[in-house]
Amino acid sequence: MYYIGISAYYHESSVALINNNKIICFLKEEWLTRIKGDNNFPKHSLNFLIKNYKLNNSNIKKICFYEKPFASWWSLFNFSIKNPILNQEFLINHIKSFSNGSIFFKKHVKDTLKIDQKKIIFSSHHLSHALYSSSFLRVKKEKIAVISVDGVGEGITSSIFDFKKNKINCLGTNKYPNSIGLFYSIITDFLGFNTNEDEYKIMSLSSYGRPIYYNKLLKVFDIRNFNLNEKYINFHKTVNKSFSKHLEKLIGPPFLNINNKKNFKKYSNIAASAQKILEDSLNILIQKTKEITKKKKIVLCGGVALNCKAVTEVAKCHKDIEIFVPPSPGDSGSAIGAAIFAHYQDSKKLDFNYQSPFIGPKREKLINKQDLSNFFKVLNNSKKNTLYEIYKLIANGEIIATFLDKSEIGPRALGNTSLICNALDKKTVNILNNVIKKRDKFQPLAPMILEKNFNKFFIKQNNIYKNHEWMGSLCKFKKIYKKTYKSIAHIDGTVRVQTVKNGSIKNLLNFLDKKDIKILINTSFNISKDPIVFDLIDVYVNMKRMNIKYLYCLNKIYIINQT
Amino acid sequence: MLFAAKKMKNMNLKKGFIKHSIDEYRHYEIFSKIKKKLYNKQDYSLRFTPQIIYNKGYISSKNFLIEKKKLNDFSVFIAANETIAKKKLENLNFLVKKKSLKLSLLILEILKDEERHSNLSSDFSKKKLNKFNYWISYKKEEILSNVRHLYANSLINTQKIFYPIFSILLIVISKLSLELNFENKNRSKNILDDIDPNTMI
Repeated sequence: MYYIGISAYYHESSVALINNNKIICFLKEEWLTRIKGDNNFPKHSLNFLIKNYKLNNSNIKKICFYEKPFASWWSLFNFSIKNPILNQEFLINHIKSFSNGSIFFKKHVKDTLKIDQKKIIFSSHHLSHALYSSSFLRVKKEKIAVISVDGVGEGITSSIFDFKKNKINCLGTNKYPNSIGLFYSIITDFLGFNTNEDEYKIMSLSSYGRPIYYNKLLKVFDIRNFNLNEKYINFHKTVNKSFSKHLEKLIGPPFLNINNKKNFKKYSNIAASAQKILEDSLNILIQKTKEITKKKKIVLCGGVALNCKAVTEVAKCHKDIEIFVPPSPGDSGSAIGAAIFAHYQDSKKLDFNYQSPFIGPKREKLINKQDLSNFFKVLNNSKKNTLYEIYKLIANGEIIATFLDKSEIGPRALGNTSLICNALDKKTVNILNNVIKKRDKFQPLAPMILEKNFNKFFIKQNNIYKNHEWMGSLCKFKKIYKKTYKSIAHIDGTVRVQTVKNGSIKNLLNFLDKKDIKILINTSFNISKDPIVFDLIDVYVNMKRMNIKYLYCLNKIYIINQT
Repeated sequence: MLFAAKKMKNMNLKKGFIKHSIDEYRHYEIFSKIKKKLYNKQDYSLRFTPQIIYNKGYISSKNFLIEKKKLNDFSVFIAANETIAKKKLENLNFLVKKKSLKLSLLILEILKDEERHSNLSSDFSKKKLNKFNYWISYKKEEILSNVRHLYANSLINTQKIFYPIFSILLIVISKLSLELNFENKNRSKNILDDIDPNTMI
């Protein structure tokens, strides 16, 4: 019997399918619609699962939505309705969103799949985060505490959970609008980037600055009381601008052109200050959780946990505990949490243990053999020689696109849907970052390395080491390698390295290791602002757009058919 | 276009749709370049949020156009819309030309593509439909497209007409909302059992 979890309507929509304690498949709607951050009801993903797993009313036990729709809608409405005239624009928009939002989840499911309405249930926002995140740790659940921190969900902005055997105790919550996630989004908006999407750019930018606006920004977000000062916010009034004129008076004009040197310096200082406030807030939360629960393993989840710089910094202050971040701590991963919640309703047990971040559909299902032979030519037919061919190409400064095994769950490509090249080849690295991927100049690319080689090149921080498997935390190069790999390290010397433990990409790295190529560059197989490629046609179109010739797929190396 | 390419079994059509979608991606890049050159700031009105194309009614979240239309109708749709896009771009080019000749050349590149797309599509549909049916379908698509643009462009202004009504409604709701309380009840030691899975509240 199947359990389906769905996350939708706010961040990127996703669907998870589980069966007998096993995760069968996970899909993001944006993969299929090609609309980055698509937050509509995941109709296409659900249809994909229905078709591929022959889902129907008789083999589906429950479908669970990741949060309480009305609670979520009402919490924002209730806050703004206190001043209906001043907050009119937001309120009208919010009312409009009612008609196509999560309130009609049951109807949207019914339109896609004929199912008994009693089988449709609802989890709770932060609980879904916690259930998903805890399932990635192979330890007894009673050994962990979970901190969920994001923008807002059901009017709650952060929660602390203490896990017991088949029980979860909620120790405390913080309420809207007092959200460290929303504070970070305000700064993202202020600096001219897209909220709910470009927060990672602020994290990168922060490395270039000094936190000289820290004290000023403390007036906006009070880290002791977790209080967001309403004077500086506007997101409850309008949907166009999340900050008020008071913030402009406090730290200067917004939306400046960052390509100007002076503006870049100023904005990186603001980003650094916001980053420090985020880190200090997380620090306090972890300290409190540690004191109350006495647990040695703390799981961080919610969108804020995607900030790998903050995770790394706070881990330095809490060396006595392990800080774990799952591969997809944001809302899209919560679809799995919702499915676990649905399963719990029947089993009354919390016995899920997932280990792999590769839970998307198998590539074989997404490759039409006729398309493959029409759009690509095999470079070398022998399986034995494939790795050698790749080695030759990489050594010659080529960039290879990979489309292997299963797709990754999180926002970061982990080798199966990646563009890879030799990390020592500075020229290729720069072309890949600036010309092909069109990333901002302040965002270096990330490397991947075999787990066995990690200690040779990088300084290990034990309490966040596990997160390197999905780039969930940062580390630094050892002194002797700093200069050699300067082009892939951030300005502050940090690297968002990925350790590779298994799969086809491990076989490739093992082969390259023998040929003395120890570190590869790994960046997601997409152009900035596009979703990661999903099927073979996406692969072809994106390779054409990026002018990439070689594809590693189905244990062979292919060259794109130029005609 | 991309989804149409994925759906096509005929390899020539598949390749045609792939080429078209690559062109469209390139057009987006050109527009981004123009935006960057013409504006020095990055405020909200200049940001592109992909999700907005749903709200403006340009695409539907329920299905792709190729799923809703027959292939002939789909190609008439392309022919009509590419011609409309060409006309709109000619107007845009007139404005951009005054500011930068280089940028204007980029728009001319798009114009050429739009013309090619339109011609290929109309040639395809003319082979499948007789002249009268093609003309009817073309006019229908032209009208629908103009209505869609009108809807998208007037979204903000039409909203404002209803503002006074909304204001009164909101004041009434604000008074009522004081009486409502959906605050969480006392929690027991297990949140998993506190949450009623059947309720949305």
